[in-house]
Amino acid sequence: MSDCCDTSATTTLAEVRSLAASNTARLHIALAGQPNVGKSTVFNLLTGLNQHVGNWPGKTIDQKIGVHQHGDVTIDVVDLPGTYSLTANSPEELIAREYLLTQRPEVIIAIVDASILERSLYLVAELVQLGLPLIVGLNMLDVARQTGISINAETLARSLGVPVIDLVAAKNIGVAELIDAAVVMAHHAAVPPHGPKLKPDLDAVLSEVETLVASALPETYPLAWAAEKLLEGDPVIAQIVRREMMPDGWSSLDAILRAHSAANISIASARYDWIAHAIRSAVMRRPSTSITWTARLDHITTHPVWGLGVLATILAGLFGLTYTVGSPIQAWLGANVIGGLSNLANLILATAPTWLRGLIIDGAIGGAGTVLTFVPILLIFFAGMALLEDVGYMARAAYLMDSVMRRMGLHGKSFLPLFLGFGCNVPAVMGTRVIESEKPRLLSILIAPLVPCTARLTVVAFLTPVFFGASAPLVAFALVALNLIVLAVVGAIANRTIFKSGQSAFIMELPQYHWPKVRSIALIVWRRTIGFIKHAGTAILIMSLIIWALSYFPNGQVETSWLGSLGRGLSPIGGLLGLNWKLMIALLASFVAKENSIAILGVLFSAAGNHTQLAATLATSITPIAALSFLVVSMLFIPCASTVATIRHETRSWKWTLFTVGLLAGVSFGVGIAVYQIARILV
Amino acid sequence: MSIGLDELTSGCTAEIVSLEQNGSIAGRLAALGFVPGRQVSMVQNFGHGPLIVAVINTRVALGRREATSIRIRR
Repeated sequence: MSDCCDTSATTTLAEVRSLAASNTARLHIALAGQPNVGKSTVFNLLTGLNQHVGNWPGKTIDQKIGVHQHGDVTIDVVDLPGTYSLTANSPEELIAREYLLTQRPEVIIAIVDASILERSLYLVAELVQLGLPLIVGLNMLDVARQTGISINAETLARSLGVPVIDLVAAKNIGVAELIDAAVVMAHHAAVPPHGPKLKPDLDAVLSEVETLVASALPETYPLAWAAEKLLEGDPVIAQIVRREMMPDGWSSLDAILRAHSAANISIASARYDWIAHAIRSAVMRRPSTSITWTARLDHITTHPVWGLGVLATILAGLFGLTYTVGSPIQAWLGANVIGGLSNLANLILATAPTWLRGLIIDGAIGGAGTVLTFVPILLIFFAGMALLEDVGYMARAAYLMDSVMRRMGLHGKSFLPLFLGFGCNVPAVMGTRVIESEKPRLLSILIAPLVPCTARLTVVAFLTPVFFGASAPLVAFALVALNLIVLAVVGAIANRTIFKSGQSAFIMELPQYHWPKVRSIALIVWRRTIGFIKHAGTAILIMSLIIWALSYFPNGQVETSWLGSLGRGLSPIGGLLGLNWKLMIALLASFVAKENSIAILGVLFSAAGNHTQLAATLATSITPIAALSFLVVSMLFIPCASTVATIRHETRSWKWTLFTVGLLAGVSFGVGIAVYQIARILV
Repeated sequence: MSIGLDELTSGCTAEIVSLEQNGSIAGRLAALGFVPGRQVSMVQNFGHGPLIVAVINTRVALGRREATSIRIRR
């Protein structure tokens, strides 16, 4: 949605930078930190609603920039992606370090988690080498205290050589002091002293590498840092210097790097030694015998039986909320707001030409307007996901599902994005970036559209009661189950045939559990919801109008319209599926947006915007078996236009996108025909 | 005599001797604190499927292959 499809961020950033250049009372600060240290909480506290979420240029990773007003100083704050280190192991790490090296913020604020100080200082051990002013925000001091750890910030600051500020960001403690210190730091522009020292033998190798690459590096790369990255096996820097170096220079460098292929372990050890030395006198550890909350909860949530029970309960709770709260609100909005708008438009447009009335009432209000009534359901999903992510549960779900996912050539991390697919397939496809390896990622993208999204579930929620009365929930459940079975089968087959893949690495931190941070969750939900509303007001509105026009012109009759002709043209397939031309058209229209099929049924059955009337008409004109066939095909059909666009964007390949679309079209028709023909024999 | 981390039973602690994997996987493990000399304790290991270990006060879930590549001494 807005945070995934918005590409305007690059220009915004450029604007921000040029503003910064023209105004001396403007500062530029970057927030760095490992994942789960509360970096985004600090960012949200500093910028509130003055933030813009877009994409990093050429990437699909959130770029969060915001503005903080500090007295008469305006500060541009950039929230870098959370990374464990600065080696190019992942796109996030590459983005973070490229940003720091090329944009050179006036100050880097590194947020660390005091309760796991040693581990979170690892990134700081790398940041001190960049030659940029640095401040450490010592976050989660409350959690650290509870586990018997007390840290003397002044002592730590002395041994690290950079200012250290106490923080409890979740309670907004210390953030003002942090930004004060950053402003002071920006004026002094003091660069931290040199960081970790390598063992003498490796240090000699490092000097050799430095000599070789000194003239081949981009100006912005500190020599010692880049040489160390080369020794660590950094593929991106190796590529850069290879381009710039003479062939014989490169071959001697390559020989050195090959001879020290395990240097990355020694370098990591050197960083941890430096950290151990720095914290020795600053950290007091009271022996604590109490078991932490995280350990207690993990005992249940990662248990192979209880854990799955917890996961199933959470899923059931989300669906329960959707059906008991989301759907009634949606129905109410449909009947009153959309219905009321239609009536109002009817009054205002009483003397307008018929086609204009149709365009506004049936096309705009009945199409895009109806889509907007899904907002309550999306809200529940967005809030649920944000809550689970915020408290730290998502990683547990990934751990639990790893074995199941592995059978499809995926791993635990695929579960999270696929699970997001229940909300909307667009974030699901985008979310596959958590998977580092190419093949499992492509496979996840291939099967992601088979996860029934909210829009499709709403179609199911609307149509099943019309045809199946009291058995509606059972039919709905069976439809969802069928989708997941097809997903597993397609995944397993594709893994063995197209991918012939090995398994990828599964390394994932299980962060500590935290109380939900309402502010952070609210911000995410707000952003996503606004994004969806914008999407509905633009792409979906335009497509609704186009489809309406196709169903109206050339002569004002849907039966003889252009869309009608296309639906009739597909009648051979429709016959096998038991779908008449109206249902075929509704199915085709779901390509625009899944929820469109109801709107289009409304248009085709002359009951636009009036769900009660549409339900009555449908019940008398379609058999339950045909309805079942329609639902099966709708659930498995090619993803909506937004998802297809996202697949293209993420895979950067039209071939792969078209393959996905073709495969899903084939699968949906195949399964639909099977279900219809079997149901006809049975009933 | 070193064994793979995957052979460590739940509740036991051991010292890391070496990392067998090369390249970026070893780099990622090392950044998380899996470096020679470091103590690791097994939180959960059922002998199949992924396992959970604690290293420098953090819980990390590892696939069995990644765990096997971490050599330990009890």
